Amino acid sequence: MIKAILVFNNHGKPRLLKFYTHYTEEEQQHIVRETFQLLSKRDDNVCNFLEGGTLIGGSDYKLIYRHYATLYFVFCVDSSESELGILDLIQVFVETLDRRFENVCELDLIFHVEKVHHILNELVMGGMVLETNMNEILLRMNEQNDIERREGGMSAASAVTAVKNMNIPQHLKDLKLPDLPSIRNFKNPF
Amino acid sequence: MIRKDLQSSNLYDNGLALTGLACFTTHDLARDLVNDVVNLLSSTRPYVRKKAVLVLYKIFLKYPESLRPTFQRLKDKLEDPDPGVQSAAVNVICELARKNPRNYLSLAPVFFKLMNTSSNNWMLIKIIKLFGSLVPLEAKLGKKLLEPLTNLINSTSAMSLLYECINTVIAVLISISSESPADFTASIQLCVQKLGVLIEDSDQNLKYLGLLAMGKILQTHPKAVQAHKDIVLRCLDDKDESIRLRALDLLYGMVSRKNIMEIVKKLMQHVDAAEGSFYRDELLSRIIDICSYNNYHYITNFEWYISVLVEMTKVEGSKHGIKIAEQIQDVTVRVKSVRHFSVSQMSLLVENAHLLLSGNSAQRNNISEVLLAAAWICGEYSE
Repeated sequence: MIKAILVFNNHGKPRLLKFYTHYTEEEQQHIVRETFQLLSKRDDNVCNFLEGGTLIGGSDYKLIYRHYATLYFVFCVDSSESELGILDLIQVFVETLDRRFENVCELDLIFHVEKVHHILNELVMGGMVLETNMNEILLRMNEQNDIERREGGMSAASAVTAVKNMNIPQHLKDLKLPDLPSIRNFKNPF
Repeated sequence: MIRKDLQSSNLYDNGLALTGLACFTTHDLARDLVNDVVNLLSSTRPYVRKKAVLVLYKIFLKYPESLRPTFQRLKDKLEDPDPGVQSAAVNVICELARKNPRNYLSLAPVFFKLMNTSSNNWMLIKIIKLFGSLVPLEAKLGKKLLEPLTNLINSTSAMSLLYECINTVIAVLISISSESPADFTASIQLCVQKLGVLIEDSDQNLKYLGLLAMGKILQTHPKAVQAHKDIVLRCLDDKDESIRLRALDLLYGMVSRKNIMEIVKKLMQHVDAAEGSFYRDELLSRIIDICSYNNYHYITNFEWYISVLVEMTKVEGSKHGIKIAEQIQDVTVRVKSVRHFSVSQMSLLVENAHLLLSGNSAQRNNISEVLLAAAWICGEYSE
């Protein structure tokens, strides 16, 4: 089972965090910091598997990561997952992002977080791998985007027509202001 | 609201609801919605069936009472025409079996059939891993698996599958190691040979995995790994810390009377150069383990060993003060000839106690253990 998926940049700033078991905010931040510390020390031509973290680690868990230019993609998995298989999965994830955003870069992840989450949801669900074929994932994403566009189009259009139909000057004239209380009835406080 | 989405005819509504459920389901939600999810198992769209199967796992976690009635439906999905759904079902059953392998032993024949008919690597890997955890419970299963696994090892080109097959074969061999080993030398040789290829590969990942698997063989068939002694010793010098850690595991099988001093010297050099305290502690405990293995079987020169132990005491930040102390005491008590030397070394330590104790409190605790032993030895054996 996959316990968590983290994406952060070379300075340790998280770009995508997905935890499949419950952790508090503070624990999550701690995990990101610790993982970054462990990974930043590693050279680029060492192996992609790490053990030895304390919080998210433990005897059964491994960190499997890939470093692409400015981003680290880290999957924290237990011993039921195949290490080389997960490496392939990270590759599929990144390639899917690349196809979706056309030459993906870090800014895409920052400005389109919800799209990245959608793609990730098609790939991994509840900590288990859902789909490993990139084309299948892209097909699903495109279909969902079409639906979104159609629905979004409809509601945007109806909002515009509703605003046009509002006759604002008439409304202002019809506005009935409440009566001011009569001063005579006030007792003199002094 | 969630029910409305689950019952919608739009597959993406279903998909979204299921994904959401996987993230936030609770005991009550699971109880109320399990029937809707089970209905979706028979949806006409494989996309929805796949997701429904995976969500079932989360529901089982939160609402365990639902496992028994829905299990039959889950088993049916193993024979679903869509390979994605099959794969998801295998995934869920593997996760369940990890917690409680005995309950799922009865499914072994179904998985066996799947293993022989499927070509989906992910699914094969999961099934083979599952067999790896079932094998200790049922010896006959292991023997039946050896042949198909060996075939897979010889035929597959996917490294991930190859590695998992080797792992499971090792698990089989460990579980039947009590019986006559001669029958299985061919399998052992095959595994060791393939692992040797992995370790020599320039890809660090393969090297790591090869060492990891070889470490497992070592426990039951130490002689089998002797052939690769040189490569493993070379891995000790690798600049990748993970690889060095794994090579350390294999040291037990590689050490002999002739090379122990050289190996320990190399390891002490690593201790000096080591950056992380985790690695350093591992190194120290390994050195002690190898040296004390089998009643100090490999040590010919005990004076050398005492001086190594003294050097280890001076290493900063170590957590093994007690172990070192025990070792020094043990050796001094049992080996009469070395007592004189030991006393002289210990008295040096005690004289310089103030220097040693200048570190922080954690260090002081460790060093004080050794000083305790040192003082005792001086008291007992000095003349």
